[in-house]
Amino acid sequence: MTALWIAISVLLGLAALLSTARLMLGPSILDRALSVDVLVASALTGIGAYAAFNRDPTVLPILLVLSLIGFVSSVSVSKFVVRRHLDEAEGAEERGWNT
Amino acid sequence: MEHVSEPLVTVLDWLAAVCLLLGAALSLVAGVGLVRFPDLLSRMHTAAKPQVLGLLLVLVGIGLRIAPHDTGVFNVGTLILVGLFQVMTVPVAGHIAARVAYRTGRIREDLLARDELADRIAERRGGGAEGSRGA
Repeated sequence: MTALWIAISVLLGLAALLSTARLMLGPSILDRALSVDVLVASALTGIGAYAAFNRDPTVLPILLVLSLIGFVSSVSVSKFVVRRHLDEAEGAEERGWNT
Repeated sequence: MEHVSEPLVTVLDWLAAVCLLLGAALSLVAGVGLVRFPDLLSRMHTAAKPQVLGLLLVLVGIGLRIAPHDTGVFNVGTLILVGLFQVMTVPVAGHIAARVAYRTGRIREDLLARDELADRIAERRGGGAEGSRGA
């Protein structure tokens, strides 16, 4: 059983390391936003594994908050990319980018 | 569920451990795909699907591990809410990011098998402009 828990934490750590690698490599800002998303999800999984290991339900609200924060961050980064692209390329009159 | 028998708790613990192991393995798969896939759209695939399935498995594992010892509605409700938020928000975030990547020309067109959105955009603009695909 202990070996199983160690294996779980090692797998989660490797997943976080790999998404950190993409965070550093990623050619565009959208790649980085995506890998931050995956990193937040790895944090969710890790905190969840902690809660399951210790049978500790007090950290569950952290999961709730993190799952919403990740969404808000990736959407706002995407909107920022759109606005900067429009400013650079086409000027101010096409600011109303119809979605 | 106040007095759960001891063998049942052992079985539930093993089930929870298996769920957590599968969830962690799927998270690792998502990480590997994030590093190895060539462009943003395929990376978005790995960030959306294996990651969400892994997280849901981990949530099931937490539930199996906590529920026999702490039988509050609050814990299970929180877990269900987390799962629901993930299932609802991850597709939306992926869609918005993919849309922005397409509109700002950050995708690799040589990897696309078929580009139906380009046809639609050209049709709507009267075939005249491909301005939004620039850069």
